[in-house]
Amino acid sequence: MQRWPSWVYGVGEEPDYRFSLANERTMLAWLRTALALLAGGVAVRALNLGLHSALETTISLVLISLGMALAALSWWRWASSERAMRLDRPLPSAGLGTLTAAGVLVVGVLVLLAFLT
Amino acid sequence: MNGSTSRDPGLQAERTGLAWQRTALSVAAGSIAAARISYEDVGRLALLNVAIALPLALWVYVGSRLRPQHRPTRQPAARWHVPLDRWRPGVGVEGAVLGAAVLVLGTVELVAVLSAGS
Repeated sequence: MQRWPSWVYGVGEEPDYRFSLANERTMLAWLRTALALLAGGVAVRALNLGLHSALETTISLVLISLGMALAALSWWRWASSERAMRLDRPLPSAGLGTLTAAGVLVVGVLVLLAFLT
Repeated sequence: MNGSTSRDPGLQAERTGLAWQRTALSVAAGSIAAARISYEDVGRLALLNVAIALPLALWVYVGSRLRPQHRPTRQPAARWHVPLDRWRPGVGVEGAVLGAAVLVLGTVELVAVLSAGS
């Protein structure tokens, strides 16, 4: 019975299990990051910070969407990395980190704007 | 990999199992909290968190408590001593399940944000 997905496990050979385990832990760390962003998006509205409501809604939407995007992308990155390790190829680039940093920066600017107006 | 983990290969599997546990529990706890908070905005739609995301996360949590999937032969099995490797669907499936749980959460919360009057 082959593991899923086959485009990951059906190619190459089994890498050192420690690298597979590290890849798993990385995916899980990204999932927790996604969850934290999502929780932030929910908290912005639940805490009644008294910000301008349109800005609050925007911040909330950006955070929740970013969290959802990260949740999907973290699995994708796990799969591409596992496949790359099996084929002895370079790992995918650090796009996830850039995306997260950019998203958090945008939200930070929005929050700053909210407090200044 | 640093030197200390290369001396005890079982540590890596244990770290990974713990990472699975805390991630699954975080998603489970988050789904309950999010359902509670957004119930006022979307009513019963918020229960999707508890009906879908929570069981998925708990299923992954229970699975992560069992014997890890990669381990050197010297490492003892988990306390429950049940030969469950063949029942566990694998990292790809369980990771996708947790991701799907977070997506369900996010969808419900997006709807809650968009449908709230304020």
